[in-house]
Amino acid sequence: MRAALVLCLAVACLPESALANDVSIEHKIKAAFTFNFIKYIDWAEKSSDPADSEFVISIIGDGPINSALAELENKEVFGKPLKVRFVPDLESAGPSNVYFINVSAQEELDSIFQKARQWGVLTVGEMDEFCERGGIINFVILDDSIHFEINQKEAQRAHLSISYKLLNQASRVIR
Amino acid sequence: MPSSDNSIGKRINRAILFTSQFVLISTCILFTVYELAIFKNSLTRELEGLARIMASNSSAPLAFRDEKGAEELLANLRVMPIIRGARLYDKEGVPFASYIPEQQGGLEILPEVSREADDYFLDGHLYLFLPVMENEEKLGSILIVSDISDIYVRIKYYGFILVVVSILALFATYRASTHLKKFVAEPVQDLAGTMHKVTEEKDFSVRAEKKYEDELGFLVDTFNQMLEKIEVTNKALEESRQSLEQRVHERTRELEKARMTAEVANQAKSEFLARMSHELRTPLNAVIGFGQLLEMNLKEKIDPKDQVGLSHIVNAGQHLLTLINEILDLSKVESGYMAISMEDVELEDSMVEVSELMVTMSHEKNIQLDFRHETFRQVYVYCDKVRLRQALLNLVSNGIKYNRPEGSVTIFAESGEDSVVVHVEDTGQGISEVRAQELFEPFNRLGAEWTGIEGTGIGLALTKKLVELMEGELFFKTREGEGSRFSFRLKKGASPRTLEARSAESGGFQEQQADGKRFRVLYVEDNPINLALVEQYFMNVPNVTLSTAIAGEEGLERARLETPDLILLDINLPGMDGREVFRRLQEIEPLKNIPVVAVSAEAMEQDVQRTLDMGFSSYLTKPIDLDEFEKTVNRYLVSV
Repeated sequence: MRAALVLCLAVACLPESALANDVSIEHKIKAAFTFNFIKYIDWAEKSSDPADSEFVISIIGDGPINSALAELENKEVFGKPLKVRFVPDLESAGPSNVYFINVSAQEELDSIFQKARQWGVLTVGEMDEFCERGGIINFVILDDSIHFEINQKEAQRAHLSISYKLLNQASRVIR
Repeated sequence: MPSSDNSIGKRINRAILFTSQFVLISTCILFTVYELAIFKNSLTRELEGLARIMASNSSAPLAFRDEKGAEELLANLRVMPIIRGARLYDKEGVPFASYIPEQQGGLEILPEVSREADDYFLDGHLYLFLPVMENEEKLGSILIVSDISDIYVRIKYYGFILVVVSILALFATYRASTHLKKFVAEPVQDLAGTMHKVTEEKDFSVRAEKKYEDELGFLVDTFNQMLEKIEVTNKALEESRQSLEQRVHERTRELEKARMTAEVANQAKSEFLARMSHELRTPLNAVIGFGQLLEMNLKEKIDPKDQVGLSHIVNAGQHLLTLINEILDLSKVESGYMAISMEDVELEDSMVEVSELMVTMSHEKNIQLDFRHETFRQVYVYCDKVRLRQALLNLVSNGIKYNRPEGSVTIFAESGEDSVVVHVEDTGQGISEVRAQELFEPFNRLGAEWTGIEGTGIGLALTKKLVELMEGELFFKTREGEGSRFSFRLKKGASPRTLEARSAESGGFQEQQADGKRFRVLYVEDNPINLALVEQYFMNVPNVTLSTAIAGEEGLERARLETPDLILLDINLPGMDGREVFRRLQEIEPLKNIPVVAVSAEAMEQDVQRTLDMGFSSYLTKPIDLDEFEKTVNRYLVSV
């Protein structure tokens, strides 16, 4: 199913505080979507790696979305607190469940993907050719609304099982 | 027969129809209610299942704000026409996506605010809210609105089934009960009809028809057996009744025969008594009559010794006559042939007669008679006058006879409320207690037979019987050595009555001699002794001319020639008897009103009554007592 998101509606759904902080609506939505992705993925096979007590998102590189993602800190998912860590490069990234890769870390993509496959980490990005190069979920803008595409092959390589529901919402699925 | 409305058949019909319809309708209603509940339940559950699927599927569109996807998802519900609408609400309860079937129009039926998990009915719709969850996080909620008009359709459908089934059941039970009627009601009605027939017509020969070998059949059998028993009993009763009737008939015949025999015997007895009294009286008549005449005629001509002898003859004759009379009376009383003619009698009248008759005897015995007339005046008793006098004479003569020398007899009456008691008190020896019991035994003189006092021993027995015959009672008090008091109680008489004969008694033909009036008397008598007696009597009466005839025909002839003032007529005449002569006399105009006195030895009550009934003025029994004779003649001659 094709994802259709109307920005104005999305704005209405978000807490007013989001507007008050100088965070763009687009990044707020992307941050919320990122949080929702976690729920539609079966982490059973690969979730033991980080400490069992928390769920970790590592944000690699700098970008405007970072502040929106920061707001996910300590949200609860699968009964664990969500931890958001900002790292400049792959080297400094610790054990994680999700890698959000900013455009600034574009150079490192291949090594990041390699490590992610190895560790079973979900990779999320917002750049062209992200999925083609080996990323799993990539945000795209279609008809002024935020959509996402999924590379199911990569997900399977990383031993992540993506719910059909999530697949149905994606604008494009690479199999 | 019971009315048709109450007949057992109709009742069975009604009962079965009512029961079946009741069971059927109540079952149908219960099932309908149950079915509806089940239906609602299953509808709710079905809807819930659907809502769960929808909720599950709509979690991602909600999570990723895919309004279009959500609406497409909800639009899938169009394949279910029962769904009248659906809506997704986001986490805040604000509508996110909605669905309404095309043909339906607006969104009015969908509430603007979500609810927690809930289901409710509203305006013929079932509303069902469910939360949309993903990984235990609530993303929003879903509402599905379902049409439940199906329920109404079902209710209609059930109603239709109920009506159809009821009609079918009605028909079936009617058929069944008709069948049942044949097995139950008809035999019962037949039996009832037979019973009715038996009671109405008393015909025990009819039998009820047995149709089936069941309890009713048994009832019919029992009824028939009962009828049979009744019939047998009836027959036996009828037979015994007939034999009883026959026995009664036979017994009646026997009794009739016995009665006839008894009557014949009785007749013979009566005839014997009549003859006896006639045969005994006739010779006595001569003895006493001529004795008295001799006494009268020869008073100064013969010496006193012969006079005494003559008076002995008369006394003995009179005693004998009394004895005969009393025996006859007693036997009449005892055989129930004593005729009593009850009337109101003035006591004083009878007392005067008795005192006159007793005066001579009391003088002879030197006993003072004390009739207390003041106690008799205006006192009436209900009795037979002749028998009252007889009873009084007996008691007074006993009082005189069994008294001490120079004693007295007191007669007085006590008048009570409705009875009168007459007392006769003497100053004699009294009666010892031992002998008092024998007092009323006939011929028992309690030893007086040795005292030389004349008596028959019948007097008291007869008196007692006579008093009892007059519905009275006789009783006595006695104190040995001081005297006795005999009393009898009689019913009080009703009204005073002037007695016809009384005026006649004042004066007589002998006193009227001075007037020089002459009377003619005709005496018809075949017996020469009686004839001579009467001729001699009238020879001393100067103003009476006596003519005689010795046969009925001759008597008639003389009467016609002489038109006498009085006719003395013997009854037992040869040829034409006295009664016939009387009849003929009545046919002759100038002789019709002449008083006729019967003179006969027939002393039986019925003879006397028969004769008086014919119209005779009076009846004198032979032997002729001259005192009585003189009084009677005196009565009729004076009244001419």
